[in-house]
Amino acid sequence: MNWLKKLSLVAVASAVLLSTTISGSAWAKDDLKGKITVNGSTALLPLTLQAAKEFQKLHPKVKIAASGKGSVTGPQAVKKGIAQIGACDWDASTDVPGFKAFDGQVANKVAVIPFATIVNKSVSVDNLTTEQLKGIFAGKITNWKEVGGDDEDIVVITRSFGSGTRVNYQAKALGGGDIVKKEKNYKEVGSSGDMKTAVATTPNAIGYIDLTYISGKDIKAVKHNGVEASVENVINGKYKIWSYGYYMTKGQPTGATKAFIEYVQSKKFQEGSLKKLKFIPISAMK
Amino acid sequence: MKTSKVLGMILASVVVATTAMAPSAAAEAGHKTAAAKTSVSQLKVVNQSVVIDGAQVSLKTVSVNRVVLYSLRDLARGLGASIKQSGAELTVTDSQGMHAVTLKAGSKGYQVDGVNAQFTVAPQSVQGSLYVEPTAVIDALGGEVLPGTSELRSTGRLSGQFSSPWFNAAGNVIVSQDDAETAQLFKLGSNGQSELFSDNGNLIGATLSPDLSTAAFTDENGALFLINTGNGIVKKLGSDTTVKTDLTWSADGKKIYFIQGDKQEKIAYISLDTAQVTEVLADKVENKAEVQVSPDEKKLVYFVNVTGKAETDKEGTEESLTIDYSKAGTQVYSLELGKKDAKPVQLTKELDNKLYLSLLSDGSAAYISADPDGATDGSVLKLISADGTKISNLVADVDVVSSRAVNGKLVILAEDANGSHLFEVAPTGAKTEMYSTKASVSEWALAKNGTIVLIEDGKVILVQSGKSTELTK
Repeated sequence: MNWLKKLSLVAVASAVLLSTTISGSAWAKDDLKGKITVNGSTALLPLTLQAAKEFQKLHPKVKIAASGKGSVTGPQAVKKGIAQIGACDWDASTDVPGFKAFDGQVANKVAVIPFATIVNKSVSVDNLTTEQLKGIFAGKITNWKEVGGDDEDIVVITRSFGSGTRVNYQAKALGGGDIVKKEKNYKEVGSSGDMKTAVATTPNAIGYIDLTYISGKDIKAVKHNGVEASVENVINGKYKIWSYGYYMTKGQPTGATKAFIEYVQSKKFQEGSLKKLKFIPISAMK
Repeated sequence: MKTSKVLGMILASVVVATTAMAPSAAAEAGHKTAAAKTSVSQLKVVNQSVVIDGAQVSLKTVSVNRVVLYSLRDLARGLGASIKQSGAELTVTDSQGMHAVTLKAGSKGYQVDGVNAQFTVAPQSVQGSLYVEPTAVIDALGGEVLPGTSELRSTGRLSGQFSSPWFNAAGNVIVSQDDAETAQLFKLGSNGQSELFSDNGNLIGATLSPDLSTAAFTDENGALFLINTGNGIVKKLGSDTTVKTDLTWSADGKKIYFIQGDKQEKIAYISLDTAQVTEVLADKVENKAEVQVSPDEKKLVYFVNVTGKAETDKEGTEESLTIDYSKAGTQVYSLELGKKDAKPVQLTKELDNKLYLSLLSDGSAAYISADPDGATDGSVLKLISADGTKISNLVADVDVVSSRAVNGKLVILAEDANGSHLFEVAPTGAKTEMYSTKASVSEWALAKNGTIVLIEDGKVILVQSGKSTELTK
């Protein structure tokens, strides 16, 4: 570039700058950097990815990588130091049936997750009590006619051991009852998506899933003790099968991890994208 | 310096006055105004011209010890306020009936909505008219004297932290207030006058139609709604309740494309005419985002957020848990809708953070690349050629914060050592500065006529013809 052209550009740039108003406010560049890895609950994975997308627009130099393999792998990964955040459908800093507390970990509430019993569209039953569900998942009730349905074998679809959905379902839908492995009409799946697919494609199947996954004509939610699984009934206290979703961290979070968790907990995210992904804001349960 | 003094000084310097000697009614009434050392018999009534709510108005004033007092009657008329007298007391009420100021001649003490306050100079009665400190009365009535100007507003500007600005078809700015107790969206005029547009929190982040007349948004049930940006009337569009994110309008405003599904695994659109949802892509690839559609609707580009891969043994033991994040990151894909049986094509492979995807009119795609591990601190604007074979840096000499294709132009918000800048970027990468400020700009929107609205440190700034106006405080 010749000097005359350079001079012209400088002059033009100066003129443009002079024509603008300079605010007295300080200009602050975003210096937040870091890598955040999040592993665990598949139920919380869509929420994590959406939050990551929005958070990175505010903090482009923060890298966020997420993965899902079931809730227990969240605090496990944090304990092993291979993830900063363990997404878990229960408070893994305390003992729950089947799992000991993860010492030294802090549970950061990020969402309310409602769960529902689902059945294949072929099933005519639309309500099940805690006792009936206990019987079905313990393998004592094996035919739909025993709970008011057609004379068809019940196919039980359940999540693998370590699933947060399974922990919460056992505790709240089955009243602490067991899920007993059977030789036939029984299948274990590894994720919420697989659960939806399995129940949708297996006639006479029953399973359980986060409310957010329920869509389409191939599966339907059944009432629990006469109460419909809905966000409204969770908030008003009538429907009991729900839990908080947590981000587990090794001690109190710091740096970019802390900032990310605070973003997920912010009113903007909780009342905005989180609701549109069909989770319930944590503030709704106060 | 207090605003009242600034106002007085500005008005004194601006106004051409017609003056008249006035007898002092206050003196006749026997009031002793301690602050008014100037002999009341020497007070000159001066007609001053000021702007109230954008209109030029002439007000009578007097100056007491260099403090300019305004005729209460004139001021009230200009502000649309009403005055009632009860004995020696006058009560001024704003046009909305929200605030009341009670005062009397010769008394520094007055009441605002029942709370005691003090004037610097007591109201003066001159030639049968009461003269008062304007700023105190305007503030008390919920109005505002614009800083550094002689302009008065009957309603003060909103104050607080604001975000998500957009323009409606009439050129009004719509913003949401972040620090309100509940979600609130306000419509702001070019002078900062405001009215509540909506208290529907689902509207935050709504997507505007190309003609700005309509915004689309979803609710917590996955239902899709349209709001008329002029009158705020909302209507539901269709009955589909699947999860929908990343809404984007077709150029003709007849369809809204979106990412669909609880795992964000599909791309679909809804027709505004029929309210029918049509699947465009269902390839079982999860975590899609930011779908963009070409003006002729023959090409889509979108992000796929690739997750890490966690593995355990069958028992799910802690010892066996491994996670491979080596491929985790955001990648750009394209889909040629105009070609029969076309499959999505992955356009990028790098693991940098990719943000703000735009599909340009020539078929090329731009995105912001930020590399936390990279040698440079800044984020650059990258361009993928229309045929998808070449990726190059379009803007790399400033830290690119956000980018968007608006009215066929690619516009970026960037930062450098001098502050924040809004640039229009040509296909060659040449930048034309549209606005610059030392303040921290977080969001922006462009009207079709080139007017800009920005969020600077939480405040809403309107930029028209190079002149910036703070619409909120």
